[in-house]
Amino acid sequence: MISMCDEVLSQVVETARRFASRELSANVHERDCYPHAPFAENIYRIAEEVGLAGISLPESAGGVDLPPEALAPILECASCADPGLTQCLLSHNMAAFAAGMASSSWGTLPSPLEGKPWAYPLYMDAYDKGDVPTARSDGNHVVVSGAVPMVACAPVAAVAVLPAKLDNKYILMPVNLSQDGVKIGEPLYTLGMHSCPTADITLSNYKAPKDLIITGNPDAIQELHFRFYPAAAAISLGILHASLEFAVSYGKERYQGGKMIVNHSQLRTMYGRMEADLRAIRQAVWRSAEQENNLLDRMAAKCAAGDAAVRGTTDGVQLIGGYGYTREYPQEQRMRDARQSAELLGSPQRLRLAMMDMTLD
Amino acid sequence: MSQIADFSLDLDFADTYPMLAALRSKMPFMVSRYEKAWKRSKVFADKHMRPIASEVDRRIQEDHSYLPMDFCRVAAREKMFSLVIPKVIGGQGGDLLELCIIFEELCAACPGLGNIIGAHYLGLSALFAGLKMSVTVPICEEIVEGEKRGEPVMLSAAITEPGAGSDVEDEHAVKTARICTFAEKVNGGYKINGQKIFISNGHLAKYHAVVLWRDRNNLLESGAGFIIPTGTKGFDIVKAEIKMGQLACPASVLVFEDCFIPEDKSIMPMDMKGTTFSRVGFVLGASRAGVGAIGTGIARGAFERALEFAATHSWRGERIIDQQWAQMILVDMLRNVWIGRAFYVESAMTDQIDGLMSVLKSPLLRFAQLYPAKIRNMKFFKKIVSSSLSTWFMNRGLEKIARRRRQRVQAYSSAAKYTGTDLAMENANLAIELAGAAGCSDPGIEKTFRDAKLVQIYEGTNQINRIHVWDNIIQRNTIC
Repeated sequence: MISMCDEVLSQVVETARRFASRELSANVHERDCYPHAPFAENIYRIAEEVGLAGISLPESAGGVDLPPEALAPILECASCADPGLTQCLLSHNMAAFAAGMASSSWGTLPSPLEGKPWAYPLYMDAYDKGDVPTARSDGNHVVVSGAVPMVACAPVAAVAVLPAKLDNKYILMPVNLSQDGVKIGEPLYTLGMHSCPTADITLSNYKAPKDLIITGNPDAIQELHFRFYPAAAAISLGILHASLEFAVSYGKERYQGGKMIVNHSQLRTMYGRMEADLRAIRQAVWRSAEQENNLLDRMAAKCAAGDAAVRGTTDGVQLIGGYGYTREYPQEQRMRDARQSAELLGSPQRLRLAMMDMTLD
Repeated sequence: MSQIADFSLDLDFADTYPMLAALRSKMPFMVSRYEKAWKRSKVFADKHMRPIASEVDRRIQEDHSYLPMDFCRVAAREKMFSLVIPKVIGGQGGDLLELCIIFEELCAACPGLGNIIGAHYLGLSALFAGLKMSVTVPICEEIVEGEKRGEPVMLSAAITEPGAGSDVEDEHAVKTARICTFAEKVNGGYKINGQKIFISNGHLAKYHAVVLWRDRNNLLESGAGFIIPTGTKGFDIVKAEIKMGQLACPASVLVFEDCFIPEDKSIMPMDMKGTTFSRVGFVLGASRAGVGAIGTGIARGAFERALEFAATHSWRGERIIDQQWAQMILVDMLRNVWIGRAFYVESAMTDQIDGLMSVLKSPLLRFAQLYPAKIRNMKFFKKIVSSSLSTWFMNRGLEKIARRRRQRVQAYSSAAKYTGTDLAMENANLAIELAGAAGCSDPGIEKTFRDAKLVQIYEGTNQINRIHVWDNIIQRNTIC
């Protein structure tokens, strides 16, 4: 599918690294204050300008035309600096890629490269979609009603790609958020990922053109998530990576009991676990991204990345002590973001159950 | 996932504390006191904490300068600040286990609001550990009088410094700690310079029990303790840290610049080498059991929220609570609560026999308590209780506690602290694992996750506390 040694990919990863250090590293705390502070639209625009919003879009649409799996190393770099904005990039790339699965033209929809991220319910589990809106055919349209919870980017997006159930099949459809029949809820106060505005969306008799409906095998949502599990895992890895780096640099400056923190063997075991998790799981994520037809490997790597990030960032705060718990230092945000990132594309607990369903049934 | 029904969980005292309930026939008075404390704190938490917990948290996220003074006034009115003050000085005469039972209930409802009350008792235990009755008695009386008027008189304990956190709570580490707060002897008292950080209740307290040092070359033996009222010249409370959780309880920065404190406000004996540090040990021996109870409360809050979520939401067309995988997560969470609770009960009882609390239950105070309130309120009686003779008796009681007994208290309290608080974090994480992404936007569940982390850090990080267990139990009893 992809090779991590691909030259184009290497260039884009380098771009992502530069973008993260120049644009994302500053003012992370201010962006974390959303909804009490504005969404960082200007930074999102820069991401779009340097190509990070169109990684999986065809060149004809102004994209980089890399497969979705290529997002993994790119989003890991960005997530080291600002996981919330990185989540916006994941939402946008997933939604735009999904729309492209149905049609190479965007029909009446605004272009995906117009300075606003597209919205997608990033916390939906492909193997238990819960209550999704129901759709019925009506000539050239389907008419959709129902609610979709926790749609990433919803408060700032022009377009969302949302799930629905049509004739007992799950579909996805691009929704023009300025059209009649769409209600976007108030921004949600979530545990983490504050710089990615999130809200519920309710559809009431929303009319979606049939030619933009996205179907898949076995269903559109499972097919889409299969392609993006490595990218979601990479967000967790990026947070873990940043937490480890910060904990190490702090541990070299701070003394406890007359010794540098990094020189206490009790604490080295905590550092060591973070380092080992990061290295092993990164290999698993990248390898699963490089291979085809390996759904279980991808799901397993995503679960492992999420769990490791939760554990590692909790330790990341502990290694800093009281300062780690304050907003003056970045570790507390990483801990919140990591916990939420583990839920991307489905909770690890439930994905593991789904994996065993596939294995056993 | 959809929401389907209302839910409630109803456990009685025997379900919660089976061992204490089993002792009812042997020690009816004691057990009934614990049961009363449990019921009382449950009512207080349901009535005054659960309804406002999310709102206060949200409000402080928007405005970091907001202080929940209304809650403090309610807590004062409900007499939550004099629970362990001996009856002889007007308090309720509770013991450490009673306090721990109350902490668990309060922190199951809201760790931030609960910690306001918890931090007050940390300050109070520092005041008690000094056992300077001429300072202790008037402040305790003021607390009690404040409660009668519905005005909170609260305390804080100021130990942590910018360059030294757990170091200043550890006998070995303090020798090399990077201390910045010192007291210099001047005519009639002491001049204090330095800074204290992460002081829970700093912005709410009227009195601050401040631990500091006199000689930077001999930190272990030059500790000192003062009680410093808010508003003292040269003493400023400059800011409250913006924290991840427990937002209701401010973590303040205290700054001292040539702050003069008269000799009589010193609460630790200044002329006894190393005494202050052993007193800090007594404070932590009591307070870490309390933090174990706070952690257990947080773990229980997480369990209850997860249980409610599971009972009111469905997954794959079936209530989550009816699915075995979820039941097993919930069982583990409840087991964690039981472990934390068993540990703090053990630790609190150990402290009541061999720690600071044993002195507050000394025969002297018990005897004085036998007098009717009319006599106890007479001036001459109060004068006796706060006299230097009384101070001498109390200090003698504390010093008589053998090193081995003290070490046992410290080991158990450290273990109770890190056990309860590690399990709090584990349960907070399991609650989200059970609820999935919805847990990240559920006000109760996401708040518990943020609140839980702090307790693994304060009162000595859990790593330091593990070292204390090693030092105080394994190392001293191992021959190799």
